[in-house]
Amino acid sequence: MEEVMVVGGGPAGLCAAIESARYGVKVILIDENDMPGGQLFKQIHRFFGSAQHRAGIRGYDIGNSLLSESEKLGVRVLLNTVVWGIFQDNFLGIKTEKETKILQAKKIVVGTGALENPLAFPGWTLPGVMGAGAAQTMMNIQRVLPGKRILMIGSGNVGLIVSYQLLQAGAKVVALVEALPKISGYLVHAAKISRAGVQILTSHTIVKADGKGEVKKAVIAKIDENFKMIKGTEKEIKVDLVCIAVGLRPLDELCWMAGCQFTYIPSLGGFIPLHSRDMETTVSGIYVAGDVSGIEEASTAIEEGKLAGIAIAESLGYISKKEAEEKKELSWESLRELRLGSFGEGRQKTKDLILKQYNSLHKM
Amino acid sequence: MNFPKSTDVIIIGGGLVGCSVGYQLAKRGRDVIILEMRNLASGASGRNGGMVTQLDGRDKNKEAILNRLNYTRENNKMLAGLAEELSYDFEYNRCGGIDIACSEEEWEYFKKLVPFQKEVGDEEVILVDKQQLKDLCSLLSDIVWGARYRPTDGTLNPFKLNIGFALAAKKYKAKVFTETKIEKIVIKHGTAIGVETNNGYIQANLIINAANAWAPLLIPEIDILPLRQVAVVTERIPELPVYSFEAIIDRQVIFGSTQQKSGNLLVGGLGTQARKREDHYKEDLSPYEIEGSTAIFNILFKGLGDVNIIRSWAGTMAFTADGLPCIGPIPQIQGLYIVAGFSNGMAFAPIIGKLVAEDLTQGKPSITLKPFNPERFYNKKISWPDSYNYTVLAEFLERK
Ligand SMILES: Cc1cc2nc3c(=O)[nH]c(=O)nc-3n(C[C@H](O)[C@H](O)[C@H](O)COP(=O)(O)OP(=O)(O)OC[C@H]3O[C@@H](n4cnc5c(N)ncnc54)[C@H](O)[C@@H]3O)c2cc1C
Ligand SMILES: Cc1cc2nc3c(=O)[nH]c(=O)nc-3n(C[C@H](O)[C@H](O)[C@H](O)COP(=O)(O)OP(=O)(O)OC[C@H]3O[C@@H](n4cnc5c(N)ncnc54)[C@H](O)[C@@H]3O)c2cc1C
Repeated sequence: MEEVMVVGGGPAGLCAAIESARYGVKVILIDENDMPGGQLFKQIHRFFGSAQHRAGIRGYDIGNSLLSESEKLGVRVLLNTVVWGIFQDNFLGIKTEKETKILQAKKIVVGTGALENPLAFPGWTLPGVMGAGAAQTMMNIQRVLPGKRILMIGSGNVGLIVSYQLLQAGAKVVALVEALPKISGYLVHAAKISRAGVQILTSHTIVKADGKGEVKKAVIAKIDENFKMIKGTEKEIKVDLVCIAVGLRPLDELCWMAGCQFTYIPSLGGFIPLHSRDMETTVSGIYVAGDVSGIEEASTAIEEGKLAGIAIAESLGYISKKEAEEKKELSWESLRELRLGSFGEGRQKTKDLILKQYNSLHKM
Repeated sequence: MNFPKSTDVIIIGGGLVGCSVGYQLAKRGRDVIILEMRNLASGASGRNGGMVTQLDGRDKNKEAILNRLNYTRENNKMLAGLAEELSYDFEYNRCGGIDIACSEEEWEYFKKLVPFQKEVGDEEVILVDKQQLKDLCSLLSDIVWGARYRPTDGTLNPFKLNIGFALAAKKYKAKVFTETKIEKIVIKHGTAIGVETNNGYIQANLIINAANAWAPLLIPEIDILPLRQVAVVTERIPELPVYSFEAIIDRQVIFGSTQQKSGNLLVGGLGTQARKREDHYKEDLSPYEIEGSTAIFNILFKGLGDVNIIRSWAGTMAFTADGLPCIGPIPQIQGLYIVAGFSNGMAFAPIIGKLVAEDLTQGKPSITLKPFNPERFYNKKISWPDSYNYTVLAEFLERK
C-alpha cells in the first residue's frame, strides 16, 4: 500500500504533495500530461492579487518553483498517467503509457482541476469551435496558433486573458461577446484588450457558426434582458475560430465515483464535493484541493493543497497536532485574505456554507 | 400532477417490462399508473448490453429451446414494426448474433447441439467453423473455435426502447410516477387492494409486479434471485463488422455487441466475484471487474488493446432456476399478477407486454403463457448457495 497518492499535478496537487513530503510522507503525484504544473504553464501573464500571494509573478514561474521544490523533497512523479477510477477502500485504477494498474493508498488527494463548460449553438461541433482554455494550451504549450480571426465568447477573466494572449501571438480578435449587460472579469484585463482594438459587445450572443468542414464565419446578435435574441440585430462576421469561455466546472468524476457527498453551488461551478477545513471529503482518507473543490484561482488552489498536505502528514503521525494547527492556521489566514474584495467575498460565503453542510453531516 | 388515491391498474417498476405492459394495457383502455422507485430505465433496463438474443443458454433440451423461440421469434417480428408503432426510434439493428465456442470441448458440443436445434424446429441457426467465423468478424482472436450464428439476432438501444414504451403509454393516458417506491403490497382477505408508497397509499383493482430483480422483495414466495452483472463501454471507433456476441471464458458468460449505433463497443461479464444475495442489489464496481471486462478485448479480439474505456457500471438482473421469467397471477391472492424474472429482456419484453395485456383484458393471450406460470416457483424455495455469482449458480444447477 502506498502512503499518499495525489491525482493531478496542478498548483493544488503539487502543493499537497510538497507539503506532506516536507514532513517525511512518501508521496506519488500523478498527472496525465507529460509535465506537471496543470494550468500554470499556460499562464504567461502576471498573476493578480497581493504580493504575498505571488501576484505579479507569471504562472509558469510559479510552476517552475513548485516543480523544483517537489523534486528536492523526493516526490515521485508519474507522468502521462491517467487515474481512471477511485474505488472503495482507497483503491485507484491508473493507466500509464504501457499498462493499467490497481494501487491502494492510505490517503488520496484529488486535485484534478476543472473542465470548461460547453455552449451549444448551431455549428458548435465544427472544427474551429473550442474552449478558450484549449486554445490557450495549443498556443502557449504546444505553440500552435489555432486561428487567425477569432470570436471570443464570454468576458470572464479567462475570456479576457486568452483574448490578450491571442493578440500577443499575432491573431486578430474580431469581437468578444458577452450575454450579460456588463463585463464580468477584471476591468484591467478588459481595458488592455480594448486598448488593443478588440470590440467588447455586452448583451450579445453567438447565433451560429458556419462553414463547410470548419468554421468560416459566425453570426452574432444583440439580446434583450431576458436573453432573447433581438430580431434584426444579427451580424455576420468572418472568423476561423470561435473560443468559448463561459465558465468552468469542477472535474469531479473521481469524487462521484469514490462516493463523496456533494452540494450544488452555481457560483463555484456547480456540484462541489463537501469538505472539511482540512479539505477532507465525506469519504474518510480522500481529500480535495483546488478547482475541483470549487472554481477559484491558482493562489487559493495552492493554499488548499497545502492544507490537505499538512492534514495528511498530521493524520499519518508525521507531525504533532499542535504543529499542524499552527501551519494550517497560516493557510486559513491566507485563504481568508484571498477571498476578500468584491470578487472574493461571495466565494468566502459559499466556502463557509460547504463547511457548514459538511459539519452537519455524519462522517462516513 | 397530483398523486392519485386510486386507479384501475398499478404497475410496480418502470423498466422495459413495466413500461411495455403499461403501454399495452393503456392502449386497451385500462387506467394505468406506473410507479418507479428511481427513474425510468434505472434498473437492468438502463444497464444492459442491448443484445436481442433469441435463444440464450446452451440447453440441449427441446422444451427449453421452444419455450424461448416460440416467444422470441414473435418478439423479433414485433420489433421490426415497433419503432413506427411507438413513433420512437430505438436503434434496432438486426445485425446477427454469434455464440462463440472458445475451447475444443465447446466446439464439439456445438457440433451436436446445432443439428439437434434444427431437428426440433430451429431452422435458422447456423454452425460456423473458425474460418467462417473469422470471415464474419475479422476482429476475433485465435481463441475462437467456431460459433452458433443466428442472422436475425441483433442489438437495440434499451434506454430508448424503455422510454419509447413509456411515452407511448402516456399517449394512452397512462401516468408515470418516478421516485415512488412501493413499500408494501396491501392484502386483505386474500385480495391485493393497494400499495403503500413513500408518496402515499393508492388503491387499485389490479397490481402488477414488474420489479424484476426486486420483485421477490415484495412477493418473497416467488423464487427469483437478483444477479449483478457489469459492463464497460469503449470510446467511439470506426465502423467494424457488427454482431452481438456471447462466449464463456473462465466459466463466466461474457457478452457484448461489437458495435452500437453510436460507434462504441460494449462488453461485460468477466471478473464478478461471488457475493451474498442482498449485495447483488449494490451497483458499486470493483476495479477488478473493470479490469476483467476490459481483458475481454485482449482475449477475444485482436488489435483493440489501445481502445479507451469511457464508462463502466454494474446492474442487477433476475435469475430463475430454468432461465425463464415468471408471468401470471400469484396463487391464493386475488388481484396480484407478476411479470418478472427476466435475464434476457430485449428478446422478451415487447411481446410479453402484449401477451400479458391480452391475458388481462381478453382472458386469453394469443400465445399461451403457461411455460412461465409462477406456480412453478411458488413456495418451492431452492436452498441456493449463500454467496454466488453466475458461475456458482450455473454449477449449482448442474449438480442438482
Ligand atoms: C486563462 C486563465 C487565466 C488564469 N489566471 C489566473 C490568475 O491570474 N491568477 C490565479 O490565481 N489563477 C488564475 N487562473 C486559475 C488557475 O489557473 C486555476 O484556478 C488553477 O490552475 C487550479 O489549480 P488546480 O491544481 O486545481 O487544477 P489544474 O491546474 O487544472 O491542474 C489539474 C491537473 O490534473 C490533471 N488531471 C485531471 N484529471 C486527471 C486524472 N484523472 N488523472 C491524471 N491527471 C489528471 C490535469 O491534466 C491537470 O494537469 C487562470 C485560469 C485560466 C484558465
Ligand atoms: C449488465 C447487464 C447486461 C445485460 N445484457 C442484456 C442483453 O444484452 N440483452 C438482454 O436481453 N438482456 C440483458 N440483460 C438483462 C435485461 O437488462 C433485463 O432482462 C431487462 O432489462 C429486465 O427488464 P425489467 O423491466 O424486468 O427490469 P428492470 O429494468 O430492472 O426494471 C425493474 C424496475 O423496478 C423498479 N423497482 C424495483 N422495486 C421497486 C419498488 N419497490 N417500487 C417501485 N419500483 C421498483 C426498479 O427501480 C427498476 O427500474 C442484462 C442485464 C445486465 C444487468
